[in-house]
Parts: sequence; C-alpha cells; structure tokens
Amino acid sequence: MTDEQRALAGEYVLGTLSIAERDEAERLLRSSSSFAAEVQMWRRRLDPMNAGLAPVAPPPELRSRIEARMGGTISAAPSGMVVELRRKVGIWRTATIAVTALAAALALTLFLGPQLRGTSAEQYVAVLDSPEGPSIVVGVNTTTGVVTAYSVAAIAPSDRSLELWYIGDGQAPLALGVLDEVGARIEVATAGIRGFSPSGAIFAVTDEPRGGSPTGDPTGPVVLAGGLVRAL
Amino acid sequence: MISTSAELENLLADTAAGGRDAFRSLYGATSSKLYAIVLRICREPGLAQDALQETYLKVWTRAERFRAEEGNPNSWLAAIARNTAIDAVRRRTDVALGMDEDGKSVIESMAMANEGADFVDVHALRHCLSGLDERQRDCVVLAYCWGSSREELAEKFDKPVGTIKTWLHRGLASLKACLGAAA
Repeated sequence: MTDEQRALAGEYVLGTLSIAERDEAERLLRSSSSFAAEVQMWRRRLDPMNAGLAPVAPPPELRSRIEARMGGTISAAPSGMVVELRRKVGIWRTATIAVTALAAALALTLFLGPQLRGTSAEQYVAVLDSPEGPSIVVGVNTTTGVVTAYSVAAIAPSDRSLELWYIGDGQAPLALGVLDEVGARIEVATAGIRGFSPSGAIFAVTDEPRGGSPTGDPTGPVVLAGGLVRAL
Repeated sequence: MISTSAELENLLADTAAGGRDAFRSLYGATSSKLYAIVLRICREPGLAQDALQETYLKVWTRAERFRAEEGNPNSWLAAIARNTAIDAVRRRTDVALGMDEDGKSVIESMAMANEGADFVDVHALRHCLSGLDERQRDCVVLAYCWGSSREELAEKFDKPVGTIKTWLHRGLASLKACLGAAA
C-alpha cells in the first residue's frame, strides 16, 4: 500500500474526505484487503475516543419508529413463500430509502409526465433499485386510479421474465404483469386490485419462467423491490 | 459498551438472519452509546435522532456484512453511526459549528473511561494522542469526535485547507507509529 492510500484510509475513518476521495476509498475497501485491514485498524484504534462519552438514552419512541421502517410484521401470511418474500422486501425497502426521495422526484418528472404537475391528485412513486441503480419505476395516480410501471434499466435474463407484484399490507402478492426489456410499460387500474391502498404497499419483481409465474404466486427470487412514497 | 463483544456478535448474527428480537436486544444494548456518538456530531437532538434511526436501519440491512474477523462489533457499529451522523451534518449548512471543543477535553474524558477489556486500548490511544503535536492532535480529535470537515478545521485554525490535510496526515502517521509501538 502506498503512503497516499494509508493517509486515505486514516482520513476515511476520520470522515474528512471529499466525496470523490470517499468514493475512491470505498472502491479500495471492496477491492484491496490491505486497504480494508488498514481501515479496520483505524476504526478499532480510534474507537476509544468514544469511551469517555457518557451514554445518552434516545427518546423511547425512537425504537418503534425504526421498527416501523424495517418492513411489515408477518403474522398470518398465506404461505412460507410470502413470508420469505416480505422479509426480503423489507430489507430491499430500507436499503433504498436513502435514494428514494431524489429518485422519486426524478421519476415523477421523467416518467409520470408534466400533465400531473399542478393538479391536486395524490401521486405515489416506488423506485425499485438494484445495486446498479434505479431499475423499475412504479407510479400510482389515485385520482385517475392507474398504476403505471416502467422499466428504466431492468432486463430479464434470456428465457426468463421479470414479473411485477403488488403486495398490499398483510396480503398475498398479486401479479401485475411482466417487464422484460428497457422501455417496457404496464398499466393497471387500481380498481382491479382488490383492497388497493398506497399506504404500506410494496412492489416487488421476481425472476420467473418466460411469460410469468405458471402458478399465479411468485416462484422465483425477488430481484427488485420497493415501497411507495408520497411524491407530491 | 456494556455488553461483551461476543454477545454483540451473536446478536448481529441473529439480526442478519432476520431476527427482530435479536435486533431489539442489540438496540437495547447499544443505542445509548450510539446516540451519544451521533449527538456529539449532530449537536441537535432532532438531527441526531434521524441519524440514529438511519444508523439502525443500516444495521438491520447490513448485519449480514458484519463478520467477526472484520473487527470488533462495537467499532463496526460506531463506524456506521459516525458516518451516518457526519453525512447528516454535511447535508445541513445551518448546524452551528462547535468550535469551542478541543482535543484536550477528549483526552481527559478518556481517563475517566472504565471499559474493562478495552482499557489497554483506551490507555494506548490516550498516551499516543497526548504525545502528538497539539494542532495535529486537535485536527484528528475534532474530526473524529465532532465530525469537523477539513474546511471547518481550516477556518478554526485560520490555515489553508492544504495545511489541514498535511496536519491530518502527519498526525495519523505519528499516531500509527506510536500505537504500533504500544501494541
């Protein structure tokens, strides 16, 4: 490791790097075991500066606020598959919160179109992110009662389909259609979705046989998922 | 923190497997310490509570990335909390800079710490920080404890950002040499 990289590791742990330098440090953290070891060393060595800090109890309601954002609680789920699906969705959803507000604003402009601006309609957006970035955008207009899903980056593997599911709070997944290539679009009337409510709703994409799940329930792994956020 | 590293490692492993009870125990064992850490950086309770919330959501989603061989669970959790808090204050420009803090007070507070097995590490860092050039030490401590940026340090010490960067690098290099000798 160079002296420069050593300094980078130390400053990364201190938190004084610029955004570009931090990106470089995080790239090295993933690719270089000696850099990762250096970061680890600094984290452990500097941690005693927290030792003299008197603990402060956070407000008691904070824990329930956190738990509410950890994904739905599962009590009477219809099947083991759904339990697994919801658990994974919870993880995906919390992982994407940081980018959701920005991505939702972008999605609204790019995809829901200008006709929605200036109206009093309630808009909800879910941005389904993969590690590479937003892949599928789902918008709900509660005034027109239409759910629109649009693939901005997701491409199905050959001979497979990416199937979009609506999962209402505490409900079984409902198939909405397949989105196999970039530019693919699905429109579904909310009237056709039993008990539709934007609150607590999750959209998930599973990897399915060509054309969609043969059983009507998800059969493959969740590849994308996200919750709806109020967009306007 | 109160719990041993082994206990926290078990709680993290159970949390990674989706265990909400384990997550709740982990929160109970660590939240007062992490809240103190983020509060020192954020300074405002509202901002600190948002940062603590983000911290635990990251812990929930990233628990499976924690491996015992990658380090001590306390310092792993503290790193997530500090990074989240620093990101939160960097996004805000209206958080008052706490420029009355200095490195000496932290070294003094470390003398009061009673952390059992970690006592040796606390003592070593305290000893090595005390031996640093005062300005280099203050830059390192202010950055670590209060999340000061290079620009904030440049303002505090009335020096160019490039000088601060040099002080940070020299301070860290001297610290590492001293800690290596003390290990």
